[in-house]
Amino acid sequence: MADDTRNRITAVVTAPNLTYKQKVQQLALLAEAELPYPKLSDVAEQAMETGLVSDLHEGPAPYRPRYVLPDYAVALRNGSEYLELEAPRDLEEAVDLLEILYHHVPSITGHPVYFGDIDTLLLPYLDDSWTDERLDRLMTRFWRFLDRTIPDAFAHANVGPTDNPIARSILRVDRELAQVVPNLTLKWDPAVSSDALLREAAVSIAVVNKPHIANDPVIGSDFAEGYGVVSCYNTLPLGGGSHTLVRLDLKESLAQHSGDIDSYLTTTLPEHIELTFEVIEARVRYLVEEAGFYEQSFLVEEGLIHRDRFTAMFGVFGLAELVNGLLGDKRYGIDPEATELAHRVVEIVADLVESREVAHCRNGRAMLHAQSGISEDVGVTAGARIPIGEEPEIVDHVLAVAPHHGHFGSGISDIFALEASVRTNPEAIVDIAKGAFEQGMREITFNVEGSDLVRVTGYMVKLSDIEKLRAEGSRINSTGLGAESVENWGLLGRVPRVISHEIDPRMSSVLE
Amino acid sequence: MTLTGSSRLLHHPIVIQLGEPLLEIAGSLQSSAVDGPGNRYVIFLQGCNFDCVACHNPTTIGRCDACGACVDACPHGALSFPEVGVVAYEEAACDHCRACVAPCPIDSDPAIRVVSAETVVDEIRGVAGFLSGITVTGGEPTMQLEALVALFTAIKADPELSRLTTLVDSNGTLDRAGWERLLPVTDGAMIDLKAASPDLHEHMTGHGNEPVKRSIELLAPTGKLAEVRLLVIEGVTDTDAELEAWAAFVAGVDPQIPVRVMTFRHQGTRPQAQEWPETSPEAAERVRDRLSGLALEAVLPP
Repeated sequence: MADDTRNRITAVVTAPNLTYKQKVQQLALLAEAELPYPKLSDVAEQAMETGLVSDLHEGPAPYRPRYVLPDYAVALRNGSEYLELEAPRDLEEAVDLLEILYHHVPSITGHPVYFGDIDTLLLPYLDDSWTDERLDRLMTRFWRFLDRTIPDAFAHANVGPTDNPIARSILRVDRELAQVVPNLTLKWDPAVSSDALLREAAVSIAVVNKPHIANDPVIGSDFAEGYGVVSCYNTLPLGGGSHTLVRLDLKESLAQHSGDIDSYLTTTLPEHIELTFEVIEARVRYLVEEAGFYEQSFLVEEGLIHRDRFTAMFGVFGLAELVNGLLGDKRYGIDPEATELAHRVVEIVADLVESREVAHCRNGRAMLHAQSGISEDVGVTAGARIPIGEEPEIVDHVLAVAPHHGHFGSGISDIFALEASVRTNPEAIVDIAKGAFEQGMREITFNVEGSDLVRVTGYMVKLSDIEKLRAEGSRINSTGLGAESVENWGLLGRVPRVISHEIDPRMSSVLE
Repeated sequence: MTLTGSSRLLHHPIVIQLGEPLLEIAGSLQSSAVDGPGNRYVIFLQGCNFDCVACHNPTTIGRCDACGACVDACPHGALSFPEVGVVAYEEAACDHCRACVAPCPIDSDPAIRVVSAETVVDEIRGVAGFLSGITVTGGEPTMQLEALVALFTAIKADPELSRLTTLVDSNGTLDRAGWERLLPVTDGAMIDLKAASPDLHEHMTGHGNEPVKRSIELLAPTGKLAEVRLLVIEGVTDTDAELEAWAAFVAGVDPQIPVRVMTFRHQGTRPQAQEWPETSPEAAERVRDRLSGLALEAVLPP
């Protein structure tokens, strides 16, 4: 074993501020890192080395999909033979079954990223014996269980689009508890949801910056099998998920280009997209053909997930730096010419992603994703966002980014900062969300100034936890990522308009 | 074009309008969460018949009388004298350096837009999907009564926009005949009552408060008095005697009138106002508690 590896292992084993389980997870990553990467061409290898293409430290030998979205309704209906559980008979047994199942759902973070559409799953068990007060007590227990046993803020619950007592209870309880886990999305459909439900969500947003709101009819039309919103606002097929997420750094792509705008769009960009696909396909093949995840998992055997519902996510980021670099004197989000070029670049990328067949993927295709950055990104803007500090007024901001949204099938997050004054006027949040959805936005996230619970990148952290982190360590895995992001992006010192983010599996904010 | 008398008169100046009434707009916001319920389009009209010490937009007070003091001060050539009695402003040339404001003898802002109601309605149409309504403030919006009525009438007549609520944020000096013109197309008025004692009101605004009180009495029974506001200047408008008199007047009209306690901020104010301290959250809370204890039943939360 190389000394370097030995030193890294020792650092993890002796780290004073990691929990036992966090150490186990880090040791697994170090072990995997000893394996060779799936075979790539020299030019693709070089793209990985320069950071043009990145797998976000997923590891060289993928043995579980990045994101798994089980169709929990199947287990609620049938019970589980593997887990030796009967189908639940009442609401409390249904919650118990879900809590047990979560511990058998893998993902890249080592924790489930999707808890299900909780209200839809539990409504069949709701009978007249459940007053709002009793329901709130059960949901409080459920929510505490999630936060205390699945300490990762990428884990995500969905509610809606119907207005129902469980969705209402969850919104009440979630803002009362103000926990990091679970992250929460409201699926909203103007034809199905009531305005009152959206107002209830706005009241929560004003207090705890969640839920994120998804435009249900727009996203739903891309997923006949249903979908979930998971992790940092990825929209993925229900009963499936994503094998992997590989991203193309558009800023770096421009740095490796020599020539004019047209030659970039017609030659360099397509070449770099194909390199990204090469990495995606190599990883997917390893996961499916070598590691054999889909042959081993009881989730497949019992019909909670289906291999043919797994796609691969094609991520891009740094659109702003690419466009501003191509034009020189025009700024994306400020000058219409730059914003139009941004729309054109995204159309080209989307067409190329749509036309490229990928082995073992749902419909034979990857899905485009506006990747929200990771904690080590510095000087490059997340996904297709307008750079921090250059965002126009909120309505102009929506109008500038909304045309992108139809192209990002597996998710795009734009985060809008609101002044603390909306706390007394949550109706303003309702208005802006409705206006944004009318413009075709797939999803929208708000950050209200002055909350302890803030969205650093898409996931939640408590500012008070960050203060304590280095001294004491944190119970929550992603707080470390939050701390690093806060420092790299100067988040605490500016308007809370933030960058989203997936994961830093190296826990570098704690270990280095 | 509008010709006006002195902007320092309390009562609305004589206005001679030729043809379609135009709005003199000092500025507008596509989106605001602090000017009434929901997200609102906000229009600041130029000109006010009060001269409040604490005014946070003092350059909206004067209505330009075309003296021309600003034209030469503009380093960008955005201001000109195209004809007698008119100072023209060319928005495209302006870089908002504000060099034109200092030489103005009546605290007016020459960089205003003079546009028809239809122009404003078109602008609102582009962002209507994001709005609960429109709030017109200023300045004192009711000084441009005819243009204001034309704007609200056009909004209420437009099938796409008629769902939007129309609010005015007013100093309450409009007379009965004026309110009768405005109310049919207005969903609510937010009225400032800067002080209950006539002397203190005179000190705060340069004028007495009788017209303001009459407006509150007139609006309350119509259901269109959205709120009455008290600006807290610590040691000035929050004395026991003043709060008692203020609450007695408002509760005497109707104890259910929504009351909003406003905090004073230095931003935008003139030097004389900055001798007053900014309102602390504790002082605002104290005033809210006090007013609630004085028979006002609808003191709004911060």
